[in-house]
Amino acid sequence: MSRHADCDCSRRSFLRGAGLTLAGFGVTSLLPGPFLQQALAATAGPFSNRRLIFIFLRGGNDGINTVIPGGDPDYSAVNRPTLYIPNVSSLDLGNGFARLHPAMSSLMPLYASGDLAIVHRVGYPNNTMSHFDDQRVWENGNPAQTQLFEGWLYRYIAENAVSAGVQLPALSVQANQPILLRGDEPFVNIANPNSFDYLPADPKKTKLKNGWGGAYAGLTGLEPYRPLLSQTSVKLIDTLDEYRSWSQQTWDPRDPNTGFSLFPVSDATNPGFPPGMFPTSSYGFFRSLKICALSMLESDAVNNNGTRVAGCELGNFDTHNNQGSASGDQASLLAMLAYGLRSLQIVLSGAATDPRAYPGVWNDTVVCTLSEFGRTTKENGSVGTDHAVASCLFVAGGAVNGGVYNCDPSTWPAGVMFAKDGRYLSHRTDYRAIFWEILRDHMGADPAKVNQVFPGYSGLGLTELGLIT
Amino acid sequence: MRWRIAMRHTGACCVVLLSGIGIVAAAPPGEVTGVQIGSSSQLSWTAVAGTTDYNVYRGLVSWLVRGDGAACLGDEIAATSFTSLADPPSGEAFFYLVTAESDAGGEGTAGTGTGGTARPRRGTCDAIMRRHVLDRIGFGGDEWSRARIAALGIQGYLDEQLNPASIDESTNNELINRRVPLVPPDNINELVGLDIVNAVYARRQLEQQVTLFWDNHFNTDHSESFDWFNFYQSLFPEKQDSESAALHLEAQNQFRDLAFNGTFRDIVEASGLGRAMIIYLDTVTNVASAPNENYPRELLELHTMGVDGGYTQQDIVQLARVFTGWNICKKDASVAADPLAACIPSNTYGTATEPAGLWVVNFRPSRHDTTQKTLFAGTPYQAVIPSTASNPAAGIADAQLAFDAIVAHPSTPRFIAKKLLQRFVDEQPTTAMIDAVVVAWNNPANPHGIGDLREVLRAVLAQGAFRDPARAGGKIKTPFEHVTSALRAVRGMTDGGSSVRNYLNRMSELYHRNPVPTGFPEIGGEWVDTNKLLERQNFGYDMATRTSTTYGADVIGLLNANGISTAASPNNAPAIVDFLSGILFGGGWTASERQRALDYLNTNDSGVPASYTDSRIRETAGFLMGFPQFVEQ
Repeated sequence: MSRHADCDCSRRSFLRGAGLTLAGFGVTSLLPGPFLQQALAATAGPFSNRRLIFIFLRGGNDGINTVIPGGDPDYSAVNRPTLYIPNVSSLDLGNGFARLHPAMSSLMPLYASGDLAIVHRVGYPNNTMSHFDDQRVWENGNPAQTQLFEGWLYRYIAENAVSAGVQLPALSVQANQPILLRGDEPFVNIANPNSFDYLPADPKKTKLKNGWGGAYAGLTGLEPYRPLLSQTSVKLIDTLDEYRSWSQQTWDPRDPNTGFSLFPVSDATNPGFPPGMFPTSSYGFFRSLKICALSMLESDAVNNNGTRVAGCELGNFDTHNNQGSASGDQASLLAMLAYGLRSLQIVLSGAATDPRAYPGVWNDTVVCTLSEFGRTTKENGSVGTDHAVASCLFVAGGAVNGGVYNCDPSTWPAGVMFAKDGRYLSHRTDYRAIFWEILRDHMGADPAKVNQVFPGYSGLGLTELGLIT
Repeated sequence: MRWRIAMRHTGACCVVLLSGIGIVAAAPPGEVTGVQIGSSSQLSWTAVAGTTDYNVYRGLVSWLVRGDGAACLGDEIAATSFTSLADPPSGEAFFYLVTAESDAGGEGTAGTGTGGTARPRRGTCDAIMRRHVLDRIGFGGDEWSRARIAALGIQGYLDEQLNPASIDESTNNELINRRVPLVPPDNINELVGLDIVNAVYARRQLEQQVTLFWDNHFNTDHSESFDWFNFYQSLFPEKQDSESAALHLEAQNQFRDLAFNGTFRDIVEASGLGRAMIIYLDTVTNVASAPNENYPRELLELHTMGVDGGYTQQDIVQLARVFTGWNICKKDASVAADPLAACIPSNTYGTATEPAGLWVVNFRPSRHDTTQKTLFAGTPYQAVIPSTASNPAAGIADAQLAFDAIVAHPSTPRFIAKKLLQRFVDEQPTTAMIDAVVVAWNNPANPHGIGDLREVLRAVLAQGAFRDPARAGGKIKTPFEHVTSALRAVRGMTDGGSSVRNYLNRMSELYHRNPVPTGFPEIGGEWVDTNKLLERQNFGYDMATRTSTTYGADVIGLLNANGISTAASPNNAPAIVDFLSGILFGGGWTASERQRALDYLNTNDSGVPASYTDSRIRETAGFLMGFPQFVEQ
């Protein structure tokens, strides 16, 4: 099965060209053997202790109302009659220019601690403003190939090796596996965390597991999806036992000061319910985030469990109508995101009230958000905004150089909110520069392999921001 | 051909039904000899007397060591040669088997290998190809369709399915009875249930597939429609459910009709000026003072020309102005068909005194941009939509002119042809395949003219690649196809309710509830991940082991009706697993996979050999539904 929807190249010929053999379409990992052993020797490699959590904001988050350019006169009630958030309502980020959406007040302690980098004007040249294409480009790391269904994060993991016996190197917790983690070797995607197991109880469960496991492991046949099906089954079965052991449904870490659940996944854990701090529609997002956090904590060198990359998504950012301003649809989503980021910092620092008392891993963790594009500077006729170019994103973690990037007078000159096509905020930092920095300086990616992870990167002359200490 | 005609459990019939093994009028032809590979990779063999045609099978030499058989490569070959042999993978070699078959006697032997054992095959070409067709154009085989395709042959079955009106559903009591509680749908769950019931029980299988194809292509999300009817929430919450669901039923019924009785031009207008789409992509708030680009963008990118079709941002801007002024309102029944007629005042909506009437499409000249618009400016496809400033009501025709121009653009037939080919034939259709379908699209002699959707579909299914055994199993069933084909295979019973719907929800394929305008993908890799494999396997096991008439199956009845005893003694396990693999995936498995099924049936939960019971037979059916062969199509 080719990852290139419009390409005539068969998967088999692609692999032959890469010098790998197929070993009879069996379960042998497609990653080259000898290289794996070398990579394990590296001290700052993957599956050392460094971790990455990603959260994709689907739909195109309006960066302009999230990190507000209060110092730009173009941010005004003239351009945004109903969406405008005046300075008195927004949060001061301390540089005399940028301000934070009031619904994200949960982030202020994290920001004050210096562990949060707020980056604006992120995008890439000539984005099509199509959800489909631009999400794919943000996930596949190659604007020249909008039809490539393979992730830059997958390639980072593949190029920097995984050793046999390390389960769950990467995990996504969302309805469909994101392209970020797609590649020839399937990683685990858990869409329904509360029902991720075979139906019957033991011993029947084991009988089915062994039966199906054997059927898929010993698979021959020339059907193009056989290798993918085989590996998916192997991965599934490896994962089920491990996941069961986490007992995620009984894990409820709490804020040490307020006693609130850090991940509201039900009415009982929704602070202040009824009515609750968050809508019931938020429970899925918080559950996914909780599983991501748990996978990080349940991984350590002793167990050799290995989850180092995890991620989920938050949807409904495509606010063409009724976006809201200080409150409303976007505000509600931003409040969830802010609380989630804050909860990650607390629980991954080992600071949560939690009988399980996991050791902290925050200094080894980076959390980042993504979104396919920003939204129009001017409000539309439906009290919302349309697709545009640049947006903002958040990078948090113990090793992050906190602060505001690309939202001050030197990086946000006059007129920049209409600089692209006379309508859109133009980008200043390419998304690839941000994520390559994180991969190289935090996750220990081999600098020599940059072009395998982000094709063509070394020729682009992109400016990096210095987000990682 | 060998026939196996089964008793349908409703008892009603239109085809002669006999239980037991079919009738063979003559002996099959003998073994084929002289098989050799000549120059230019051509396989040839010696003709066998009394043969109608030959089948070619192929496998990797490394499989022979494991006892894994060859798979069908060439079906019903008329000549004594077969060309276009592909290269084997690096370090491997292919082996080939040829059999001879006759219409009267069926397929002859593939001969014996060293040691005198029969040369193994993964299913016969007939069984594999019939299963392929039933899976691709519908939702897998059930008793009626398996008998029908055996009676008519593949081409006859395809021709009949392309003419749904000719297929009698009046005696299809399961379909009729199970639809009754769901029509009209009281809420969106019932419409999803109707989709399930139609797919599982209808004889007009292609009609159901194609209807859902267009429903998915012109994706709308019920949650938007539901929100639009918010004014009913306090006093008439049931109306919020039923009126919003009605929008999606209407769209689907239009797609069902036009797919066989209309053109693409018809269907794109039915979608774009349909109530569900007007709400979903914000046409409903698109006004001259603030044009909204949501629908125009998706109309070009997703519905017609495709993202590389050659339109520009300027075209989207122009189209946004074209679609200004349209919305939804309530009108008295006497004027409901007139988009320009006055609406019942909106301040009555949702009140106790809301007047009677119908929710309909409305056009407001005063909110319409009356300036001239130009599409595809500077290209050979340029279309100018004239100003209507002197007569704003005439602006209602802007949308018609825009649809005309977009559908006439050559990118449109290519984009649609490619998508149809991906759905039915090959996920990477060649330029030649697309060209052939576009020729059929543009044929002025089509009964409905250019873009005749039935003729386009006919051309898709007439591609040689559709009858290529090497492409069988080359796609993955979507979750919807997986659950419905599982139900169909084993006399499944469903009322379209939450038991099945919850699985579809967990696998993220609920029609009418997909928030993303792109619709569900046509590419199989999107439907394979650890979660979806788990849910597929859980579903087959869950459904097959139950016997309730609202959610379950009748595996035992199906076996017995086909002359397969389910008694534990003597050991009927081989006959049971062979029958199940036949109906589930045309018997396309290996000896070791078959042994695995036998082991499952013949051992207890702890893996110790023990006599099977009816319960374990059902489990085995569920177990086989979790095999990769059943996930593929």
